[in-house]
Amino acid sequence: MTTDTAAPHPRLAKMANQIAASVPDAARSAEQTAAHLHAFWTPQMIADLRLAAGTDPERLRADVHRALALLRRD
Amino acid sequence: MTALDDRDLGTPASGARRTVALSVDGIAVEVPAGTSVMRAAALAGLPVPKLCATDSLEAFGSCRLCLVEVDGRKGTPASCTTPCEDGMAVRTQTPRLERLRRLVMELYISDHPLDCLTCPANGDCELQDMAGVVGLREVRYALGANHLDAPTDGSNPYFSFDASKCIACSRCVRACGEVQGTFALTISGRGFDSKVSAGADVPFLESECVSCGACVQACPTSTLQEKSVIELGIPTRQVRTTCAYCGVGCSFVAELRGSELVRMVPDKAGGANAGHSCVKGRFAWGYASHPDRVLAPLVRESIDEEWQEATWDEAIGFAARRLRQIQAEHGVDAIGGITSSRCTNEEVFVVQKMIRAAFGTNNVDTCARVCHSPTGYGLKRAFGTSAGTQDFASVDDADLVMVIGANPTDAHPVFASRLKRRLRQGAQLVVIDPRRIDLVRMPHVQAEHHLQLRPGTNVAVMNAISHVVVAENLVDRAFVADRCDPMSFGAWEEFIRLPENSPEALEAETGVPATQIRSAARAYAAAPNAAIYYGLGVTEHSQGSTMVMAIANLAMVTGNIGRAGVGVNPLRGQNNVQGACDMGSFPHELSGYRHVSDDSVRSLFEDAWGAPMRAEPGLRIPNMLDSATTGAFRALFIQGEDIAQSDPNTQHVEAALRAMDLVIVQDLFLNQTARFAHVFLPGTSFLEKDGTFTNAERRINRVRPVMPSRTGKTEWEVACALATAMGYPMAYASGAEIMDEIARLTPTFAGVSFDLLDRVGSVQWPCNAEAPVGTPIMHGEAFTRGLGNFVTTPYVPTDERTTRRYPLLLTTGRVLTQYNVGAQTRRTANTTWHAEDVLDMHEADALVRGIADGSWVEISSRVGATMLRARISDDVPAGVVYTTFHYPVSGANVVTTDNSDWATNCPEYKVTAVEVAPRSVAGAPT
Amino acid sequence: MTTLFIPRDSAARSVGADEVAVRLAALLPGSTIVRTGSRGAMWLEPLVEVDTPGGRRGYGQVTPDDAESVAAAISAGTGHALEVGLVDDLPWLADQHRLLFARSGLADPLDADAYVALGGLRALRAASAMDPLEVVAAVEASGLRGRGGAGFPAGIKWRTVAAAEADRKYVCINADEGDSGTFADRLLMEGDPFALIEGAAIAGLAVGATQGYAYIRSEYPDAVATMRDAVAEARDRGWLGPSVLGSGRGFDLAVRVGAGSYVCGEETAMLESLEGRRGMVRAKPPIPALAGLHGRPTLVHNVLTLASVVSILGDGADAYAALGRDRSRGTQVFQLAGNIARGGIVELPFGPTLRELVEGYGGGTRSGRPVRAVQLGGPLGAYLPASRLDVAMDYESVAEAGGMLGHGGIVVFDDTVDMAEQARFAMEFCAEESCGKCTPCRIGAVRGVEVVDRLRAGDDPDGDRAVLLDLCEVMRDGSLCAMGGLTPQPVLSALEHFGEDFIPRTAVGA
Repeated sequence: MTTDTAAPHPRLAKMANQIAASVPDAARSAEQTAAHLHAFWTPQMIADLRLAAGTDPERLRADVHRALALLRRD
Repeated sequence: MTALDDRDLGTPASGARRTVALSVDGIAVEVPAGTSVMRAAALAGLPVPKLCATDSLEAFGSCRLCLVEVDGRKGTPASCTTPCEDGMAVRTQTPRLERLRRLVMELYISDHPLDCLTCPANGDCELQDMAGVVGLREVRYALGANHLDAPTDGSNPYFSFDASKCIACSRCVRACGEVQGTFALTISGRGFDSKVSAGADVPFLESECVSCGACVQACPTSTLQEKSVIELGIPTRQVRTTCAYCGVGCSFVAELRGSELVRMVPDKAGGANAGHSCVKGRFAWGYASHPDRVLAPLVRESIDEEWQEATWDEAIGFAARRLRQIQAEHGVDAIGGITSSRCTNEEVFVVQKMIRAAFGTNNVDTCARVCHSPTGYGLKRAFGTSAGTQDFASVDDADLVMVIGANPTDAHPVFASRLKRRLRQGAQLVVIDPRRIDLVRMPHVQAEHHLQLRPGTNVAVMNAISHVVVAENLVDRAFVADRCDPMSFGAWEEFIRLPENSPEALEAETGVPATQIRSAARAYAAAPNAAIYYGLGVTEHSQGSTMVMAIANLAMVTGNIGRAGVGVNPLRGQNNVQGACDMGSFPHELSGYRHVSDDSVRSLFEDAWGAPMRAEPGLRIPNMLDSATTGAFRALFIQGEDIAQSDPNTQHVEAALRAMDLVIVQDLFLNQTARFAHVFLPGTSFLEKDGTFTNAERRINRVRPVMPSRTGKTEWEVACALATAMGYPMAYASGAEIMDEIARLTPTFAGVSFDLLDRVGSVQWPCNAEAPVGTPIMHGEAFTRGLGNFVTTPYVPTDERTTRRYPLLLTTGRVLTQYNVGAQTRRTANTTWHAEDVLDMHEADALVRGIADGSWVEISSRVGATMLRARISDDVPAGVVYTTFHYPVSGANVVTTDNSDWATNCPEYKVTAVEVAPRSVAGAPT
Repeated sequence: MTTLFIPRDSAARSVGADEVAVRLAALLPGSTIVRTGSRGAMWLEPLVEVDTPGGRRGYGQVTPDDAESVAAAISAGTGHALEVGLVDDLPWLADQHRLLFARSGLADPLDADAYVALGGLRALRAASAMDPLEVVAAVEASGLRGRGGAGFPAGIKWRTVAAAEADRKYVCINADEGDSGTFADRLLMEGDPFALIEGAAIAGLAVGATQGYAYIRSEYPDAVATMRDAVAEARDRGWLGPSVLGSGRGFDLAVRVGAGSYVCGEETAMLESLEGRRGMVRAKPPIPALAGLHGRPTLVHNVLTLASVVSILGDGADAYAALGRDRSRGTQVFQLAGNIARGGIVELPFGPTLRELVEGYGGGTRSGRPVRAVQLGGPLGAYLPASRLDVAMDYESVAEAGGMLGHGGIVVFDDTVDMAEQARFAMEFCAEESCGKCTPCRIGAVRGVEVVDRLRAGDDPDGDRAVLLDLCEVMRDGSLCAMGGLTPQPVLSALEHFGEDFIPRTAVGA
């Protein structure tokens, strides 16, 4: 399978931040964000988000970074 | 009047459990207490002649044809208004009665035109029938005072009112009140001068009449008659089918003369509508034969070229080649498709199968994404099922109804009529809506509580209501203890008790006085049966999913789940939103809401379909469009949806479509999206389909072909052909065979088959071994997920805030006579009522901007601007403006943004910060 | 100082009572003029009464022009041509047995103290101290029947409403007195309104109703005004309101003006009208006693029925039941009208003969010609020929004679009457007043006028007569309410007793 290497859409970061801000339990937002991304995002979207996290870390909430870390472990 | 052969038992059924036994003409009959003698006689096979009685209306007792004798009683009581009693001996046929009936009929005919042979209702007229039944042979009265010259009112585009044929039975007046709840008709004058009047004696079109057709249906003569019948003649055959407009899913009998559709008559046996209809389903079906219909496939290399007509093989071959080519160049996941909530379950199922099995990707989504995806998400988490809990009939048992972000009288009119009837019977009404929707105050209906919140603050309001329930100890402890997950309840209770969730703390944010919230909360909690109905005003927000769960929390904490009269009820926008979701149209779920990561589910499909299934979710519509703008996503198959008009931020949608290598549109008309398409595959109207729709109450209704496909192919045949051309052979012999496959692969549909539906009419899923004829009310003994799950619902304000530049909030909705993007209704006479979208704004907002009622304005948001006419209205509060999105020329979605629900990406249509400015007519769109 | 009593009721005013009062006041400075209700002696109106040591001396039919001479006679204590002697000694009045009209004409109808002084409020005082079911039992024991026309036993209604369970119950006073030749309801409301209020309050307490409505026809503006003032006064005195006479139980009354339609006198049409809809008859069941106003149990009574309760509770059910005959107990208010010498109210225990009323109290026709026909029970009542004047006036005897006692109206015709015209009038009245709901009444009445006209024209007398009889049958047996159901009565009775009037004059001459 070939994958297009176009730049990720800027909305992914916004979406991820919104998810982290909106999950029910603020104390466990990283875990819940990770679960949500796993359930509803394509692997490519998560990969693109990870790319964005690397190139522009300031744009993502801390719990989104933690969620990405949790996803890597899976 | 209808040519249906359904027995009309004359008066409505009694709901009593106790029965009484009587004899009718010597035949023993046992009926529920409260049953009329007329109904008992009809049930015994001894129909009593009648004219003013019909079993959709309360007994009236005016025509005096149905007189009977009762042993031991004086006189000749009307059987329609006489309740059965134990031991009663009724005679329906005696010489005296026959004589009286003839004498009554003689009076009727003494004031009726004797033009039966040329009357449009000849052969379909109860007066004519009854004259025969009672044996009238002669009218001995000389021509005296009469109404033979009374005028005909033809103002309504769909039906005419010929007063000369009126027998003053009041069936139309009563239907307008009792069935529809509009009370537009009345009898004016008295005695011999009594006549049916619309409004204050104005033409029907100028009255409050909503053209639901109930009066036409009720009329026993040709007084109120469909113009199509006058024009085409009495129908000769019938096909039972289902309306393709809103999520109510009304059953209709399509009546044809030869192959020509003459009229659509609401089906009394219809599970959802019980014989009622609205102006759309009843009358606005002419689009199916509109000249704009495209009947042959169209193809073009690029969107700058003209369309070329093609054969089916050419078009499908072209599409298949390009799709495979794009996958070869850009990856399997560079293509995807969208299923349509307008299409049948079978058509949707086949398209998603084509995408998953033939395309080899989970990049499938459905237009429910932009309406009710938060319902699926939220209710699944709370209850375990992505669907509403009740049937429509449940509202008959509700003592309090809470309507949140829905406008049923416009968007779900047939359900609204049922709701209004319950409200007239005394149920309380709570409306939570920024707008003063019609339900807030209309004839004989008034909301006890209208929480007129600021758009975007739903979750805050709902948390405040639940806060009151918990803080004031109104919790149904027994229900929570027995039925709900204690851990989740504990966490939620702790959260909801927080002072920040009190009505007082949130008053400034929501704009709703705390006292109003408290009294509404108390009323909801105190009602023996409280039911919640909600619409897109709940889901189409950045916290749409959170709000759905907040609603579920409130229902659970007060024990309002699992029986008639309660529940959480999403009012679905389109005819098959529920079905499209059920059929596995979401990128993360296979049919029956089973996640693609579930190995056992996937292997079931892999075995059945002989193709590998991907374990990871695919792209949602907004993700597809975003990816298209970056070049990662390059081809889209769109079944029956006009995303260029219906989806938010039109510029963004158009840019994405323009960026793609291949757009395939399957539709009735060359819609806005087709401007960006390379292949156009003509679709079929509901009159040509053979399948099922699933309505908002999970009711699976049959859609039967009223006429052959005008394109020469069914839509599922087209999908099969495309899949086959792509190298994955797919073929079905019939819609029934597709449903059999759905049933095999979907536990909640296991018992469903066309055969069953043809036998029982309709079923509500789950329909399987445990519930062989379906499940009207869910979660009766236990929740689908076991214990009800309370989800904590912190209020997170939307990013879409008013600013000095955009100081107003725009919210959108629909009107009764138009539907969605208007593709159908704009191609009917419904444009008589709503010929353009207008912007409702409060007088205060208009004044400071120098905007006059009816003048052109420009509305702009941070993403775009469009123009429409302003209407000064106090239905909206100051600071809020409102419009509909039925017309592409006004393009309300040009201004809506790409904000969306955090969990589902359902767009935030209901909150857009805007500015409105006056514009000269010269700048107006034409 | 002289006290004069001059009626203020609308009948007396229509023949100049106001002007007479003004002139007498000017002519007799220092005298007191009390405007009273009417004694019901319509033939004497305006009846001026003067307080004398021997009793009230009356002057009948005093016109404004007579004022000066009457004033002079009063001042001088001399005789006058219009003098009728002591009013209470008038045989016409002295021979009556007045319960309902015992007070009317004696005092200012809005003088609540006078009402109490004349025996008012005893009944409400008694009832408010009784168990409600005892009150119901008293009404049952009295044998009281509804005075509106149908004669339904009042006690059964009271027991039904009392036993019905509901969040609210109502008492509705049907004062839509629309029958031609009847005026007793109006006289009572204008002459003794507190009696009606008292009766309604007793009913309210007994059946558990907290709100009452007096539905008064719009043609009675004086009665409406008097009742409104009286209700306000009763409320001020605690006779109505949240705690009637301090009993802790509430009952209030409101006055509603009718819609100007005869059929609103039909109880269910009246309820529709009270609810703000067109006055259209409802099918029964449900009966109003179980589902009446706003779907709640409702006690609907005519004015005289409720006012009778004041006697029953004030003087005892036994005393009331001792009056009358057979199943017609108590007194009936006969209203003499039409071509009659001495028209007015004659209140007697049930049972006098029609002849006693028409020829005795009424003094025969005003024209002096022989009585030819008498219509009983309003415009839809049967016509009785002079040969049946010996019928006893109670519900059953009158029915047996082919008539209908109804609301007690008696309209007299002399031998110049055209009974075919009267039959036509009955159909015309029905056509005019029909609510239009049921077919026999809505279309039948119009056809009835046409058929009578054709019959009188004489082209096909046998055929038209058959059609008219058939039409009467379908109207009688097929109509939804008494309006259409009773219209054949005057028509058929005219045909039966006065068939000769339906033969065209040309045919008679031939």
